[in-house]
Amino acid sequence: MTRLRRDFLERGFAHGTHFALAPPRTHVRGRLGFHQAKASGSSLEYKDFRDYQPGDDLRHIDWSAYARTDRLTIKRFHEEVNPFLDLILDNSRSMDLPDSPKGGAAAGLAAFFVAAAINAGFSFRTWLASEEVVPLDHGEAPPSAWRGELFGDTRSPDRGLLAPHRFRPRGIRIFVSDLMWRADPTPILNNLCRGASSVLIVQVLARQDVTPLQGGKVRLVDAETGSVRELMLNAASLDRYQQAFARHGQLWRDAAMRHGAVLAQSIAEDLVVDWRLPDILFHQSLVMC
Amino acid sequence: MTFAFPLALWGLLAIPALLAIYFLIGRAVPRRVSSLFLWVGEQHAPSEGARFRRLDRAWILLLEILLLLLLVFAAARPVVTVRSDAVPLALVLDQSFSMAAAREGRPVRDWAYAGLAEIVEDRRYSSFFFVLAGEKPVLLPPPSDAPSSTDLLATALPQWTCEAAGADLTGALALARQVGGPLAQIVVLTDRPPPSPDVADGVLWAAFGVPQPNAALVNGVRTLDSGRDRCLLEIANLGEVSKEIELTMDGSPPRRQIWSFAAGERKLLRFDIEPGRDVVRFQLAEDALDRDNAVVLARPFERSIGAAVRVDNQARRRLVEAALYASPFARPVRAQPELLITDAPYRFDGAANRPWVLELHTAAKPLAYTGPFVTYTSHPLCEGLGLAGVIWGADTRSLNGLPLITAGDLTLFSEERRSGTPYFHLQYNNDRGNLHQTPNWPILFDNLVRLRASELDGLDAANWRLGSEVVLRTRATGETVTLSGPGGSERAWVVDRDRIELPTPKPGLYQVAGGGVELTFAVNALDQGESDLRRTASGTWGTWRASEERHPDSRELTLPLLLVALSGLLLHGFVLRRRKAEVAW
Repeated sequence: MTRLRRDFLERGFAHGTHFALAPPRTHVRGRLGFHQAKASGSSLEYKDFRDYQPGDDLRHIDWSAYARTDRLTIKRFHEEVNPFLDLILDNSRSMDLPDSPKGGAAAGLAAFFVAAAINAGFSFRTWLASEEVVPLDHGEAPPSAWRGELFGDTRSPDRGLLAPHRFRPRGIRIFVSDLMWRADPTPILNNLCRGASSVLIVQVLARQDVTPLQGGKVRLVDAETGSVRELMLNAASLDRYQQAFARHGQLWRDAAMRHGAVLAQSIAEDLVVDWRLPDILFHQSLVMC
Repeated sequence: MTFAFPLALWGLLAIPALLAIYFLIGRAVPRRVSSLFLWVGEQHAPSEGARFRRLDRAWILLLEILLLLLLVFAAARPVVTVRSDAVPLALVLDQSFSMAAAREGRPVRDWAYAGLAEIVEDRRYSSFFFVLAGEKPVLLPPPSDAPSSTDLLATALPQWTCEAAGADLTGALALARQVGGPLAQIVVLTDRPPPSPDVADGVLWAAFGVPQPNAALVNGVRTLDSGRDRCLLEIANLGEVSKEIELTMDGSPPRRQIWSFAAGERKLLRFDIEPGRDVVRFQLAEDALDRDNAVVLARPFERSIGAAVRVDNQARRRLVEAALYASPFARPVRAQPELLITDAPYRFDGAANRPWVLELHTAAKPLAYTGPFVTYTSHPLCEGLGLAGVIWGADTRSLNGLPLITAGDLTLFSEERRSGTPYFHLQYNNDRGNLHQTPNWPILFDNLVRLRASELDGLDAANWRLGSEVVLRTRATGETVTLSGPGGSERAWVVDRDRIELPTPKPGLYQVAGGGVELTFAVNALDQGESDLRRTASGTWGTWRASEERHPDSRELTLPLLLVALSGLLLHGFVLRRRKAEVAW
């Protein structure tokens, strides 16, 4: 791991020590755990009743109440959360875009969440996602002990995220990625959310991913595959790009909403300045120490 | 391979320029992006196609380099040499009027036409061209399509009119050799034998004439001398036996006269022409050659100039006027003279028609010079002067200008130009010399008058020999001059210089009008050498090049290269059209 990368890890970790990972306010379906969450869940501790709504687990219907009142009533229980963080890093090369701090920001952000998890008393494990999801060498330890290179794979993480995983049940899962690959996010989120207490997706982007600069005739090189495309970067082509970028982001946001996952976007150039995370992360999963 | 225009090879420098455009100016700036899939609607270059794309780009570059090479080489006009038994064929056609002589009822030219078909039959030639051997050899433009051997001459027949006064066959042969190259087969079609029986290699000299008697008008002059309009004709009996020749002068009625001529005799005949006749025609009886049987003579131009004398000294003025007006070309005028004799300096007032000026200088204390006198003998003003024994009274100071007559280093007569107009100086004191008592005095003034008259607008003469250079002088810049010739031919020019050479390719009467002149002049075919058919002959000299001999033949590749380049351009345009969106310049 390069010195610069270690520097970003240390800076992200240092900023993360001021925060603690909190049980999620929103959650995905079918969770069990040891932390008592504010949201209702499927623990045995009864909380209250409410009317049945389509999509509710049929096993929680209070059949005796139905017999008495002829109304479908759902028993609500406190959610159980496993205090474990599965931190998944998109290991593709696009995360380390040259001429941008994107790689450093993503690494620092991972260290930030590890620090917050330690502060909250969570255990954690760091994973690298590409063709398959593999644990980072010494990924259960603080970032200073991490071994191996980050963001060096030429393949997108979609295949790995679709494969059966070994994430901890009822744990919190944070996926740090730029989401810049062509794939349907629904099956990926299905798999990622399966058995999780909550899922946070932090999209780290370089500024040029959002607003590319005009540059005349350019040869665009895909940072992951090395594919080349020559074109004239003019207002029309940039407009088409931004429309596609907006559609792609919307696709992920819709899928995240359907699955109860939290999707936050962060610009690497801004993040490395003060390591201020998007507000939605503070609202959902971080508290000040 | 050689190049006819090797300077065009400098165009190869365009190839490095093209490469620079491709690799420097047209090079795309590389930029890494997180992913390409969001660049929708742009030309897609998948990774597996990148190599193909580079190849495609290189292919177009190679095509463009090839096109440049083809165009540059085509511009350089490459010539390759191939071995062939076919040679270029040069046909030298005798254009002189003796080729129109009748032989068994047909012109010699027709015999040559038929003879050529036999000569070129079963012969191989790669190309052919014609050289018309008139007074000056002329290369005819190549025919638009290659005719068969049977009608080879048909392409040149319209121009082969046989109306020239002579044939420069030597010059025509040199021109044919120069154009056709050393291996060209030259065929000369004429009625004369070659100057030497040993003709040069590669020349086939074919003569179709037959020696036969001919009576011809070989000279014709018309003068207005001393008020008499007279004609002088020269008739020759160009035969081996004595003969009576009848001459007819047109008129009402025509005048016919018969003279007896010994074999080969020439006679000089004079005729007085009644006043008022503009054109006189003389005609001999029909014989072997018609073109020398007729002469048409136009009335000579009466070219006189207005001359004025402004000399105060009465005795000197009388001397000048006596000499000046003795010339038939000078008439006294008071205003706007064309020649002015004065004893005072003359200043031009800027008028367009400036007179020529002869300023007479007299000395207060003259000396008498007895010579030796030096004259500018080639100057028209000094023509006919003989100053031996002359005593010239003059000053001791030289005159300004170009010396025409000097006594030692003292200039007595000189010429200078003032605003482009001749201005002459003559210093002479008649009381201390005898020049005015010698023939030199009227000769001097007559020369001056004739020289001035020769510079008037118009033609020098009214009757010309065929082949002469007829020059019209005119100062009417911007006006149109029209020349009407025999047979109704007509040409016109806009005057842009003071001399126009009038083309007179045929004998007959011509009228020139415009530019301030309206003149009739005549052109006659008068040449005893051409009329003398006794020197004609039939036969062939020299041989056709051996057919088994293979000669290097030069072929130009410009057209094939241009065709290939055109095809390449079409392909290039097609490819670019298909990938227009891909190549974004």
